[in-house]
Amino acid sequence: MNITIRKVIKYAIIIVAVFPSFFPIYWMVSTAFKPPVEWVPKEPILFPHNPTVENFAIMFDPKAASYTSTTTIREPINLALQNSLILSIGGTILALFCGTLAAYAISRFKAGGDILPQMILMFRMMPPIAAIIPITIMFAAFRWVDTHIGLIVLYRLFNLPLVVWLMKSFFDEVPKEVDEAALVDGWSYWGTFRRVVLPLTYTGMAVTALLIYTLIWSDFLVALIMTNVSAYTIPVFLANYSAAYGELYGPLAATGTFAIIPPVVLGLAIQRYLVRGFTFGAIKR
Amino acid sequence: MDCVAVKSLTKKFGEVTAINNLSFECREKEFLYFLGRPGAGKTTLLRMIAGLEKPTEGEIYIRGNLVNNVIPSQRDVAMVFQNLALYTGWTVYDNIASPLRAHNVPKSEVGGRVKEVAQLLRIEHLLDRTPVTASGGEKQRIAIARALVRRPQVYLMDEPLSNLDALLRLNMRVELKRMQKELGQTIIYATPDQLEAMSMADRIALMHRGDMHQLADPETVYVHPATKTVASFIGSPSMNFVEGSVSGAGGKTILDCGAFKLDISKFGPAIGAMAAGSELTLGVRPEHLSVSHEKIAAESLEATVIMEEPLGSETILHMKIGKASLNAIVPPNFETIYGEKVWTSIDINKIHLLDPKTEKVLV
Amino acid sequence: MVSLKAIKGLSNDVEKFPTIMMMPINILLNLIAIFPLFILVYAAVTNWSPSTGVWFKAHIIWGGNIIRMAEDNVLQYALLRTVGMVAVATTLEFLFGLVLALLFVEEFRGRRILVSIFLLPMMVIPAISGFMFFMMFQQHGPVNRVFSILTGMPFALPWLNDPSYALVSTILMDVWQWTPFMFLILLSGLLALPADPINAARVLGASELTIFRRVTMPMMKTIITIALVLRSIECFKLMDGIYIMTSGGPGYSTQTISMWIYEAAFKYLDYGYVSMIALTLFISLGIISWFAIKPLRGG
Repeated sequence: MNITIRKVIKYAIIIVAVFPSFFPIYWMVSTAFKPPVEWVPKEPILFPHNPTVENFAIMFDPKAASYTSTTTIREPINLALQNSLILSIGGTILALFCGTLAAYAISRFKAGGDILPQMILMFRMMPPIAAIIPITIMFAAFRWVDTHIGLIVLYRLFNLPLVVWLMKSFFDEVPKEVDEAALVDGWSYWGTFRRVVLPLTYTGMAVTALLIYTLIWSDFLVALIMTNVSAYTIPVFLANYSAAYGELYGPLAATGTFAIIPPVVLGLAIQRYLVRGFTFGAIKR
Repeated sequence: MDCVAVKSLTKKFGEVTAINNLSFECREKEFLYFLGRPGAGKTTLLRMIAGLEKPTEGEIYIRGNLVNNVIPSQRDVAMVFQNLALYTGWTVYDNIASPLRAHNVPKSEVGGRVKEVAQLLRIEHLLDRTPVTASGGEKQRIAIARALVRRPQVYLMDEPLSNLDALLRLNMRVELKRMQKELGQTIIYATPDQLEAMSMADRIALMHRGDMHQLADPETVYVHPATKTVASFIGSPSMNFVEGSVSGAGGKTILDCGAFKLDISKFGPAIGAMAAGSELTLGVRPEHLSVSHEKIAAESLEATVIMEEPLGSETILHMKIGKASLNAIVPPNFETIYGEKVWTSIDINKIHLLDPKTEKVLV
Repeated sequence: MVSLKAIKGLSNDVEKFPTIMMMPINILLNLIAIFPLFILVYAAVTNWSPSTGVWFKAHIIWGGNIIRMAEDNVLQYALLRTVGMVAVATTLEFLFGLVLALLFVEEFRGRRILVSIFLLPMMVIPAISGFMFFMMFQQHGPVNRVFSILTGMPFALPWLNDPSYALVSTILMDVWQWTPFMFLILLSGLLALPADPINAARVLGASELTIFRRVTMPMMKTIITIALVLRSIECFKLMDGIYIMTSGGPGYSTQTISMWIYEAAFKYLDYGYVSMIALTLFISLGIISWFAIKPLRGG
């Protein structure tokens, strides 16, 4: 087949494929800017005729709605936002701490032999739903339900396997001789870890942190089950009000847009490393 | 006092024996070379002295102290690795200062010592950069500086020059030797390059598959190799070996090599009584064979030319006498063609006789 | 407590150091993971429900839950439904992802940007994409509208209101969300392939199609297996988007196994029964993943 024709076909397919990839996101974002009258028109409008930022304002302050309606969203997103931030940041830091230490031990000392890494892997495979019930019981006993602590601990648990595997692959990239040189120089094992090897993996750590942050931020199921009125996160917030006020496309779309900004931004930032994370370090692009 | 002493040292990795019951001492201010092929056990030995590997059996002493259970940072040794293992995230200054900082040397002192060493190795201009930007030779010197700055008891170097190009390697060799003499350091150095060892070592320890075949100064190793391994390893081009058997005729001991015979009566006492027919291997270095186009001496042997390797300053001549292959060194202007018959004589005072079974050199 | 010197001493001991490093993770695992596992096993053999009493006073019925599982139609339908959804979705994702990956193997202008655009769907929170598609699949929504424009006929499919269409919608949503995943992994796999065998085949005159079938694909076997296994295991977690988009409806037509468990556990409070199901899931997934991961660990 002629090279140019192939190129044309190739570009054609790609352009055709881009459209459905992008469209849903575009639709939601554009709806977020639409005034109420454009939400459910006779014919869907592609581009808001009268763009407004009111929907976003309503998110933070329900009384800002210029339209009066008995079914405006009654609560601002503030609490959900705060919770999402706290849980994402807290969970990330703790998971990173535990996981990095363990990853170093596994990488350099083969800690846990062959079994432990395998077990950690298996935890990743487990659907959270299966583990949730006994955890609910335990948390009820500790009074950890609907608290920041409880959720951070839980998120840390679920994300540990990923942290361990990612960081292990980063540690594996630092040649063992560097450790040995440091030891001979006079550093202790901890000193070698903290001063010499760890700095070499700062990029890897940053990537892992961003990935975990995104995962916690995006989590829905765990938050749904384990939070109630004080610790609910943004996805739960959205679900609740979608169920309650489903027709309010505008504000809900605004919430959705707002919610996906961090994951999209962070995801794009670390896309080079995504493959490594998904395949447990087996493939490095 | 010996700087480093090793007794009955054995190291096994699972089924494989890397080091087999070794004992030796390295003297103060000595430049000791571990010479051997890859896999001989040189690196393992160095690592055990440094404390990075634990011996399966045996003891290691540094300056008289048993250090088997002492961790590397407290053994007061410095090591230069084959792949240098520089800290890529740190500046060169930090790299060199690392051992000082690890031992909590006061900050005021660190700066001075680092600069001193950097000056010695002429890398001061690199101090603020990261090692990635340095050239091969410069990286080498950074690694050496890092080892030097501490003034440890003994320096361990594992093929530090192997990643450099040939010319740079020669220069660095000279530098190292000069430095060692000037500063009076004790260095244990591992290399597979026998030229390097011969030119720089005070003593050479030849290792092969975990055994130490000989420990002696370069001249001894060259003139009196202990085993066939040593004999074939040292010297370039390497020694010729011809198998033969002993026979007695008319009160003389003759070595029958098939294509030719040699009178080895004068070595009688050295080889002891040998029954007729017992096997003996002849070893003779190419530099000890002289070749000419005419039969000059009575004992000259006739050989056929197989190939010439002109090296510039000399030529290696590959010959065959019957089934035996021999190489000889001839002057560069020696003209010959393939298949030509030439005459070669063996310098009988410089030959070696080896027991084929034990591979020990008897003469 | 522990003195600084002691810690420093441990820091130098090659035996103790890794143990200390592993301590935080060990504590966490033991506390939060192992202990609940015991509770899970215990609960699995009871018919406990919080509405009927405290957990340590529950009635042990041993294999009763297993029998119930075997007879539970709704559960089985949910399971089958989930498996079916995943099979269809994964196949589509694989095909689309492969086509895209093949197109992207060679450098061309704008490749970087286009890759980023194609990766976008994957980065959207699944829950949010549930909402997005909820909006889009409305009867008077953009999807119908677009089809109307394209085909010239009025299009008013009841995407979310009809059981069969709802199922299709969920599959579409999943394909939209996770095709980039396949795309990314397959592309990385393709890029990581050694060029020599392919070039050699080309020099020998094989056609592109043959090269693809005989040379490229066999080399990709590991990657493809990994991708498929990963995606399939994720299927048991399929819930976020669907929950928001259809809540399992209309009726039960889009209920996945995860949603079923959620409902049984938190709406009907059937803890004992659900524990048994969870345990079964855990064990079977564990076994599958053990075998699937072996090649990864080996090399």
